[in-house]
Amino acid sequence: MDKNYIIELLKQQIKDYKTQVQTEKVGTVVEVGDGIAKISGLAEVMASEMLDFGNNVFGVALNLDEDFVGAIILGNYSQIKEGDTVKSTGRILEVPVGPAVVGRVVNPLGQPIDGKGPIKSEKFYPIEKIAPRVITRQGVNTPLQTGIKSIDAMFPIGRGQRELIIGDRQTGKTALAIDTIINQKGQNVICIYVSIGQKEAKVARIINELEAHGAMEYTTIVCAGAADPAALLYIAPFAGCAMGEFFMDQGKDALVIYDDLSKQAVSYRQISLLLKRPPGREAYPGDVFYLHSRLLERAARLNPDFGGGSLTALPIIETQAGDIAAYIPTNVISITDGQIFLESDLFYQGIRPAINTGLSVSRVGSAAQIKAMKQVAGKMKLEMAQYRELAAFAQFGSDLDESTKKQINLGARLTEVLKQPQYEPVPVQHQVLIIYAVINGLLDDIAVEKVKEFESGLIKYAQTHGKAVLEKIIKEKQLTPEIEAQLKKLISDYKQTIM
Amino acid sequence: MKVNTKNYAIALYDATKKSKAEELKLFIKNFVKILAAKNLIGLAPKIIADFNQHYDDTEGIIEVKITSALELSEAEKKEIKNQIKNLTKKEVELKTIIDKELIGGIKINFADNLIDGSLKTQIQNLKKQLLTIN
Repeated sequence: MDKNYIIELLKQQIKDYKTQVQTEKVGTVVEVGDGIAKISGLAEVMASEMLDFGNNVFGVALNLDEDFVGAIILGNYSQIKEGDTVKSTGRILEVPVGPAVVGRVVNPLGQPIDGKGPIKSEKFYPIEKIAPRVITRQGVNTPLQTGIKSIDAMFPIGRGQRELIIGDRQTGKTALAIDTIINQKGQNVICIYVSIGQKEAKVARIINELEAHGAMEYTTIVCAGAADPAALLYIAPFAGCAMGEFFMDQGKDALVIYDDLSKQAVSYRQISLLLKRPPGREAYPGDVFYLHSRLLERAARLNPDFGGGSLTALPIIETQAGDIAAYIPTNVISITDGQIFLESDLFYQGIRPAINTGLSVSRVGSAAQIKAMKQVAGKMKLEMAQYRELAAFAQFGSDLDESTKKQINLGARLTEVLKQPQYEPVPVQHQVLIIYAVINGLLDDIAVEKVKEFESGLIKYAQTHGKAVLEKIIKEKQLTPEIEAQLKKLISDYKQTIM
Repeated sequence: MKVNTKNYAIALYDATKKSKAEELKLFIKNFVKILAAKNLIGLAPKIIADFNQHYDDTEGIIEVKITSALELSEAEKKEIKNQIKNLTKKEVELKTIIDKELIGGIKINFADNLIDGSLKTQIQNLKKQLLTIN
């Protein structure tokens, strides 16, 4: 580029520069520390208004007291001193939304942290918004396929539902969420993964995994790491929710995963205690229930008059030693439309995903399943429950009658089929095929140890020899007698080839 | 019980409002005696600040802080005083501060408002604007 041209441009800019003097509302920092600032002045500040501390550090006014304003500082607070001037901005905290953030890794303020350049988005959404009202909603009726056999068959999740994933550390909670994101490929669902207080190494691994499976194209990662101030951890799920809400308002389907809300509750507790709000049970502030309920209530399925979009929420809660009766777990269980309970005992027995079929539930139920799945998996939950009861009984090795043996055999094979390795979501038609085979006793002559092998073989075989019938399942969405006959034939044909 | 310095300031104001000069001395003396009896002498600076605030609020006086790089002339001060008087409809009490860091121009502080007309801020804004052109 020409040197003179640049200089000309610069001169022009300086010439065009208009001096503007405007009145600003200001306050003074009285006290600062631990990510909290006490500010005097700022007479007309609004609750949860953004405050400008200068040097690109912002804060949010949370406590409006008689003499002081209590604010959280979003970002580095080490440069803020007592006596500094704070400007009010007149804006509520907002984040960039829209297609520009998809495929990016951002912090809870919507600033990119993946080194792929600035985010050029004209649209901003406030992070706190009132949830969609009654008239804008409708019942959940479209499945959100997680690709995990046990979930799709027994605890189906619908678009617009809120399903809690709960369990101890190291039980595969995040793995379930990531598999669900991977399975949304080609399903027209925008995914937002909110990582709250996780190790950055873990987040990096997740990003790599998503990229390897081509899932970053439709995914945004909102990351508030373990080293970030508590204020950022606290607002992270709201920021992720706002990004998802934009797509819902556009009539699209979005999925938000909050990983995990127990860490958010802990950071909110820290902020509240520092702001001297009175502590309640387990030292959480009184509004910790409202913190989660107002967030999760923003998940919705809008009716066609309002665009028909949806926002599905999968919050994650980490329990301590399987205690789901602690404060935060019971709160979130009562807010959500069901929970998937993961257990470390099952995990170590090799049943992975380690879903406890007895304690897990989906309150939306079969409205979120395609009819074919409903037909094959309808009685699965009951069979599994009976199997668990009998299996505990049968351990004593006593003689069993024929019907009990049958029940145990079926249960053992079902358990085997529901096992599934990580990063390998199964399409719904394959799920229908294999569950159909088990539940109808077509696998009874296969040894339990061989079931996994049989399953992968059958699916491979079906992909070449049974394409038509698999496509038909997707198209018709139900099992007609004709399809059923074809499935039976397909399975027996495959059996012939391996015998 | 938490001591509310504001209430002491208001009480002091109400007591001294209509008193004459010779009474005033006695009032203040007694007030300090009360503070001493209640072990509140340590809070005196805060009470004085609150009294100042309360006095200004009720009498319709506004304290204006002007920060400038150079000493302002009497005419300039008067002009600013009149402008702010028109703006707030209150009696203006000027306080001037010299701060070479501003380079030029003035900064006016009153109540929670800041009118920043300093050269330093203007240059910073210009820098911001120049950085945003691609």
